[in-house]
Amino acid sequence: MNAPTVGPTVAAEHVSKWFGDVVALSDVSFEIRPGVTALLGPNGAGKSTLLRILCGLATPSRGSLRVLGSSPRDPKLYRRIGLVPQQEGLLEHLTGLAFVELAAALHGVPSPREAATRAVTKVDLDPADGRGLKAYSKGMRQRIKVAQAIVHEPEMVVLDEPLEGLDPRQRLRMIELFRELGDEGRTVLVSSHVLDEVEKFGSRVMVLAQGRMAAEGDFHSIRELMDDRPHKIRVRSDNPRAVAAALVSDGSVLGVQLGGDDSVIVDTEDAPAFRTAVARVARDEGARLLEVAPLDDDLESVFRYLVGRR
Amino acid sequence: MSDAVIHDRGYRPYDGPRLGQVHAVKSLTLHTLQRIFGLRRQARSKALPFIVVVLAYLPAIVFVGLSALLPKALRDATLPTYEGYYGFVSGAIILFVAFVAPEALCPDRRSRSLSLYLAALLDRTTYLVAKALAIFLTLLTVTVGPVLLLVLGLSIQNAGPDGLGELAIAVGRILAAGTSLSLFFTAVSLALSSLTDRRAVASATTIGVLIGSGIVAAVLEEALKFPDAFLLLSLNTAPYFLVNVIYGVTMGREATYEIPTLIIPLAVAAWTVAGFGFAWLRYQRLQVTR
Repeated sequence: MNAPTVGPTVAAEHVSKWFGDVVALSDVSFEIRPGVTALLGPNGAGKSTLLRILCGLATPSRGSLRVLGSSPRDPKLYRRIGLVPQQEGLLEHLTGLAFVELAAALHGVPSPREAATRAVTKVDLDPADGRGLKAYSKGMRQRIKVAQAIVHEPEMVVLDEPLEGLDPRQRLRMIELFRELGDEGRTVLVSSHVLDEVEKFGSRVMVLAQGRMAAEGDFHSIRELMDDRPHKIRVRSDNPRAVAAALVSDGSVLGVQLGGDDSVIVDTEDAPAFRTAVARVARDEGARLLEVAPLDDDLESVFRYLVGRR
Repeated sequence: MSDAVIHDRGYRPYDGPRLGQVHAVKSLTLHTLQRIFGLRRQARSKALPFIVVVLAYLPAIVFVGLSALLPKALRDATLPTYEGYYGFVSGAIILFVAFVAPEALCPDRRSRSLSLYLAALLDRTTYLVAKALAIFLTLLTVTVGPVLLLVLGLSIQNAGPDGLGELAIAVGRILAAGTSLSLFFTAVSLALSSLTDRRAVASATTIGVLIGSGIVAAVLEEALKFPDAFLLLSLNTAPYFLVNVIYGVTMGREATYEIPTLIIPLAVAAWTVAGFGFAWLRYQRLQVTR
């Protein structure tokens, strides 16, 4: 890997991209630093357009974007980034190892065979597999695409929907791999709509909606910023009615709803204050708390909120 | 410290430059040109303009090809004069005239989108200016383009005008003749298309008036022995008299008529002004529900 870049890996300032009358990206500014960043957004939000601009496959209609301090169209940059495109673009007659070896050779890697063997092993495929790529399953094809993207040890890896077509075990392995790459100091940008998997990255997210940046940062922190929507918290207790009655009068609570045999659903604007209050209330009422769990702190609910608002 | 941020994606007022009425006219002209040529529309919308353009340019391409193949003596006898070229493309011109103005004007009234234009920077006059400009530019493609192609093609093969001076005069005449033809037919078709919001009716009316006026003029001049100047009542003939004047033609069928030279441009100008004036009046009085 080359020497680490000072400053953000990607810096975008007021980037817009339009195709005729269709605005794909509108005035988007952001920075991406080393580690894993998930790019989220519904279909047509502009994710793929942004990734194409990042990799120099398209130019912004307005605004500027620097990747590792260079223009994305700088040919020298291509050796420092790896791309896993969403589209299938494999040379079907080659074996997996030969395909990755070709990518290594094209990137000017000194020992393409060794590098390819390393990359193929890293994505849990067998370098000795003699089958052509046309015989590969969807999951294997995704993994071989990742292998060709990391074979030259790039500083930045851009992955467009890499979890698509993978079974749950493969997804977990792939997410582990992204984390490993991030921990090595690389910048890993993953676009995905599999939100429950993205949540496992435990990473920074960027949410695009209708071509505009809706939010960016750690999604738990984003949830904290959603102060116009109360947090929903489920409290399970051996005496839910007493806990509910006591919580109603607490200042941190907006609403209380009995949610079953032993649970109370609480709406609160101040989750940290509520967590302190609920322990005190339970102690005062002589009730035992079985569980205090947030119901809408998952990425999916944050995503739905961000994409749905105007 | 958290660096998370939720961006405001709400309504943002436009704070960029505002380009004014001239830009609005230009935009509507370009939009109308796109509509006429069927750009960004399905293939069948492109068919008629494509066919007309092919019909207008094909003879020029054939003549340029022939001039390369034929010996000089035969070539001079075969190739048409520049003004004579209109004889080969007058059918295509009529077809285009009958198609272009209805396509430019009628849908806006039929779909009631005229009020949308008038609610913007455009008023009734500037709206018509934009539409007239689009029709005029479209007609130039069949009144100027093919003859220009012919003269340039022949010149490349040393079969065109002698010397740069002659070439400049020929190009000047082509531009003047084509411009006057386009202006005349723009005015006439604009006036006729302002009468109805149905394209087919406007197209049929335009063809009917162009042919019908010719019949009336011929009857007056030949059967009733009216003066030759009455031929200028024919909307399909009058502009070609002017083309002959521009080319200084003293021979040929048109030149055999006894029409004072000064009367021809005056009559064509009168028709043109009358056409534009009628369309303008019609649009001034048009009821538009805002």
